[in-house]
Amino acid sequence: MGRTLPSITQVFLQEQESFNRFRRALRRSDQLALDDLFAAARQHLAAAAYAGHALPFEVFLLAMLLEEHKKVLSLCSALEEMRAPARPDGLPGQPIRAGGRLSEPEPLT
Amino acid sequence: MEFTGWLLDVYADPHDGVALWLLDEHDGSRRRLRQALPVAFHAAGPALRLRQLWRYLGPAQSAAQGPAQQPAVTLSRSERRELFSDQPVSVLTVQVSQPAAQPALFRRVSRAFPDLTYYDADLSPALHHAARYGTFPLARCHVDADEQGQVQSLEVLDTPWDLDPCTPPLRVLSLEPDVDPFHAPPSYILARTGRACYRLALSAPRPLLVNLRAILMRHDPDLLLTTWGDTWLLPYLLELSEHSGLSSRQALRLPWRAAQGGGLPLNRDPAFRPLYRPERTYFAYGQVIYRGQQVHLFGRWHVDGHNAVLYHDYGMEGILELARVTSLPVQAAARLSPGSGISTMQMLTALREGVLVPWHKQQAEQPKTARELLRADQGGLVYQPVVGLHKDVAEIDFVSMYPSIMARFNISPETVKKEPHLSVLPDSGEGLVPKTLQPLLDKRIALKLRLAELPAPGLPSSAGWHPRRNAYKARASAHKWLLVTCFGYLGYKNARFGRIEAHEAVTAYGREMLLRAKEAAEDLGYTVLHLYVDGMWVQKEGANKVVDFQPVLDEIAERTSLPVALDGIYRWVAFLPSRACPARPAPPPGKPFRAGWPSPDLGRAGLGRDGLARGGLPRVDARIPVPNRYFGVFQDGSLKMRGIEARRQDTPPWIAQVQLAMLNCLAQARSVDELMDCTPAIEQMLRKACTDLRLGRVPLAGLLVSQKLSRELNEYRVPSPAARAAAQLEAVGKHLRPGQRVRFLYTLGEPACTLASPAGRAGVQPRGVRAWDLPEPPNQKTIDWRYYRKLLMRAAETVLQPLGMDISIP
Repeated sequence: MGRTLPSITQVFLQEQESFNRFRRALRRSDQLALDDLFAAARQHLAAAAYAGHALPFEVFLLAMLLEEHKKVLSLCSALEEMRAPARPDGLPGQPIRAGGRLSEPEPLT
Repeated sequence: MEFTGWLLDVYADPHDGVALWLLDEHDGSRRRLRQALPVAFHAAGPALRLRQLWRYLGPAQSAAQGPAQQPAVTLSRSERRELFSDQPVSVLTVQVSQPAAQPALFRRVSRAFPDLTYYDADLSPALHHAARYGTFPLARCHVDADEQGQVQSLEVLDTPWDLDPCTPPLRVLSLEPDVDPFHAPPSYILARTGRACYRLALSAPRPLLVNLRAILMRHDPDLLLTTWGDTWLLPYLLELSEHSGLSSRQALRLPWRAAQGGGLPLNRDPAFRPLYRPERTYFAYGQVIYRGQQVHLFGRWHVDGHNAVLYHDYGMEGILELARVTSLPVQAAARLSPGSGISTMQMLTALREGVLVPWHKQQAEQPKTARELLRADQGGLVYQPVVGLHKDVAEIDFVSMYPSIMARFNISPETVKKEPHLSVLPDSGEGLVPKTLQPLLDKRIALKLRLAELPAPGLPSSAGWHPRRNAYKARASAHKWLLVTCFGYLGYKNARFGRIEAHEAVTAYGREMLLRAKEAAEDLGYTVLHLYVDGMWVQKEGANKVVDFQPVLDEIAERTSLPVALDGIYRWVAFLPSRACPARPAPPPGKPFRAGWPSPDLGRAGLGRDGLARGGLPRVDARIPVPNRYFGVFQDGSLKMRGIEARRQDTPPWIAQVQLAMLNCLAQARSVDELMDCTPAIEQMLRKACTDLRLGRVPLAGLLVSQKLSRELNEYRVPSPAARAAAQLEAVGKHLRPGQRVRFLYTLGEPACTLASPAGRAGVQPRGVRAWDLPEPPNQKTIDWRYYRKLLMRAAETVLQPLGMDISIP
């Protein structure tokens, strides 16, 4: 593994690189959206490897779609919540905080 | 005479069978005995060629050559079992009465008959002895020997699998120079025995040798435990004693002097000179590994803590355990990788079962279709975790997953089918590999149970202390390494009993079992945060006690029939996102960072085209999780971390220390809410560290970066900082080999570098470095403290980012 056949991460990076020219010609804002899609596909590398599909890019596309659909679902439920009381913090499977700025720290010397 | 004692060493005697060293249990004397041990190798091939070989070695031939050239050889024909073929193989067996003569004889035969297939040809006399008599290093034996020291009978009284073997009272002499000889010339040697400590000045060679000789003779140690003994100390002492002015008068009085060519009785056995093995560099598990020159002794052991494999991990206790279970001689067990240990154990099983051990393996991979290859050529399942901070998470691991799979599902080179379906050949008996592994697995589990029964180490005062705890731990660790490597050896093309299909079958089972575990957890309503080859991180609302996770453990054990354990419950754990590019201060040698696909953060964070932040540091890409980069605190307050700076070997120790202090501060928090209260203290720590750094209050040794050289200096296209530091050392005559570590400091200004640098031609200013092992001490003023501050901030960022704190790297 990784010698006879490229590893799934290698395959992924190759596929991503093959879209370099496409990406370059996009507007900056579109480039960033495209990067989001690839980052989404990357979440499912283990499943893509396990699938052992002959055309891995199909699996990557499906993984992108999967993450997009998750986003739709979570937006839907957020919309529901706006009509209902807020959920408690730290439900299983959801990070309590996933980065972002908590408070403005003082400049460090 | 009859006595009971411990077997210390077995090696070929130049004149008569093998030499055995035993420690008499009754009077504590060390005895050198001899034992007859005929050893055999086998040749297979066309009947005509075997007949020619028979004639070549037959009685007429040896009579013609005279007894001086020819050791006593017995020839016979038989049918033997070969692991890789279904039918027994017809072989010509060549038995030699003198094990010492076998290597030369085999060299002659294999040169004259290169077309034949050879078996059992390069096994050590110790291995033959172990197979025949069940011996192993430190075995308790009952021996009956005649007055000439010839063993009449030998019976082994214990097994390598005893949990609390009766251990011999070994005498240890440790020798250590005052300073790393590669860094600076040492001025004295510290010699320590159990009772005394001597300081021997190196400036006066004669008193040094005389005193050391006196110490050796008075204490007569069984084990010479040195630091840099292989690479510097013993070669230096032997050279010194050979050329010293120790008078020939003394040599006449001391018969061993003539044999050893020097005045120092390092060997106990006067018939031998110390054995040198050359240094070597090799490639394993994606790494270049360097092993220094070795000095082996006869009649006592020499172990160099600096050159021994994994000495820092399991120490002498682990080495002795490794020797016991693998039957490798102690000096070899200390210096060989655990992989060689497993290999030896398999050969021993084969010898005992009458299975031929191939000299050079002929087995090639079976042809596969593209689809089969796609399915088979995979490793373990490695998921991307849910990035962020999580509370009350249980980590569930399979216990020694791959070896357990081999033992449970009988996976061995001779039992697997061509395609790695989840089954083995139906009519195959217990395979060679499972047979070898089963006792080792059982012993590891028994040791772990024993450890768990001891009082908890965290208890206050002496209640948690136990005399055997560290010994058990070291031995469990030695077992762990053996079991870890046994999987790799199934797929290694040069391993005697390796077969890629068996290797693939193990990973196929591994993936299946991990997915079954995932399904079991999800069916019971747990959320799976992360999966990593043989481990799983799960969470469920309201579940934070061991009993809450017991149902999922039971369900996994039920569905997979493999042993599974709860590693612990985290109060909280943070899975970290990736850095946009590899977390190194500079590109790896000869290879730029993955160019062509600029970092996703390009433009947002002011990154360069190569994905490096201004100043050369990679930034975090919060969207991309990394499988093995996390830290967390278990409910007992202990920290677990993987892949972060404090664990990396190339992080300056001071930075690792600061990061660890921050993490320890977080570990004090009892809950996630308290975690947030820790942030001011951590900010304070960071501020103090920055001030210390700026004011030069950090000791230079704390800023040392230690990196491995991956190739020879002239092979670097773009010299890395490590290569530039190595070039500085080269200029003062200190040569480093690939796989060796070079220690250096980041400095200001022009680097003193003699390599032509394409980076320099491209206008990129290479970072200044200064090798630590140069003769003159470095100047505190030249330290690039700004760069160290960046490294520090990056380490702090790793800790603080999951708490939602963002620190700006200036």
